[in-house]
Amino acid sequence: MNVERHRLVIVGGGPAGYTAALYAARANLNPLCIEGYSAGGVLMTTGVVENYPGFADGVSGPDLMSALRQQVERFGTVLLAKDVKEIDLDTWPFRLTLAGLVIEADAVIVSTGATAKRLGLPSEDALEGYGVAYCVACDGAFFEGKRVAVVGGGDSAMDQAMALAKIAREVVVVHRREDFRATEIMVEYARAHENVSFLRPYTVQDIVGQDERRVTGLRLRQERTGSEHVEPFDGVFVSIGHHPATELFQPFLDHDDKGYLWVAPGSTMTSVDGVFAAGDVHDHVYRQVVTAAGSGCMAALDAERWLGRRGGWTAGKAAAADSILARGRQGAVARA
Amino acid sequence: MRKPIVLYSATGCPLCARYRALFDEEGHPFEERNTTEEPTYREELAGLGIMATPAVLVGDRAVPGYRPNTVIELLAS
Repeated sequence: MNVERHRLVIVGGGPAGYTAALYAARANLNPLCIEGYSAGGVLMTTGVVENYPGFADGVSGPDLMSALRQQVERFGTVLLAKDVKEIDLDTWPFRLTLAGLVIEADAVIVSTGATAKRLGLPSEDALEGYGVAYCVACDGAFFEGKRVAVVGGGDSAMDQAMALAKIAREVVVVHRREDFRATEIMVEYARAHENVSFLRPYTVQDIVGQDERRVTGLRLRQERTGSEHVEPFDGVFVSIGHHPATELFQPFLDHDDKGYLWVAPGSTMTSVDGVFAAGDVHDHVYRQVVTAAGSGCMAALDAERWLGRRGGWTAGKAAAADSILARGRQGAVARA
Repeated sequence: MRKPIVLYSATGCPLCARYRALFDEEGHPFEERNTTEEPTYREELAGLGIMATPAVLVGDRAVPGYRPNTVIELLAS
């Protein structure tokens, strides 16, 4: 098997990974960004992003990722559209195994982002692609003139409901609580569509289907009364949030019970020296595109300094930065 | 002998683009059927009960949704 050696490997190609690659490439670290088969991350199935600074009219998730990817390529980052199959962070250099290739890395930035949560019902697995869907841009057209449910109560659920409202006859947002987690403006946008309605507080007990080839409805439980009924639907779009995509790294890196990686306060350093985490893999509070991008920047700067301290080729640069910082601290002390 | 691949896609479907990149990278020729440009392709999928793009036919096996590892395993089997 081919073995390649790289100074800095970034695993994941969302806003955090691409921004880390951008900063690392501009620092002449020649990073390798393993963006994976799902490059672009969650944003690739997001409609309009209205809260990323600099876009007065909003920007589509895929367009934003495409622009960021082009920017990253411009500065010479090598992008690899493959998935990492195995990783070993107990040895150094760190080892990452891909199909037909082993990569050794002096430093690693983990930015694998988040993946969509599933309801966890056996019927969901059986009927995925047969009426159970996760992406309106991909699957919305199949539900033209039909009655569909969107399960969830966050901004993503509202985004999906509005996109579906243009295609489906009726869209029902099913949410387990009275209050939405979505921002008020998104709920108001959704409410303004005549064919969008809300069912709450209802939890999905089962997805009802025919011959495992067609969704016919949802078995719902009214959370106040405990009563259950089957509500007829032709399809269901699941939009109940995301969880960190860290399974591969959990055996090596400290993490909480939900899989979020631990990082040292105020930095992106994980529990393993030389491994950094950026974006949704460690952020369980903000989880925004702009915070993921900012976190990617931090990880690249942390990695650059770490590589410099190890006596690598950026040693001179890191020493200079340390010296500037030290002078700044002395200045601050003197001023105090 | 290589198994024939058919990729059912939709315009603006990002995961369809990832399949394209994957097949190109792996050197697998494939036939693309865009369901947005040609709605009869959507009916073909619906005939299989599939209401999702991307969907891939590997030989006579249908894989709805984006499941690259499943497709790779089918190609290797």
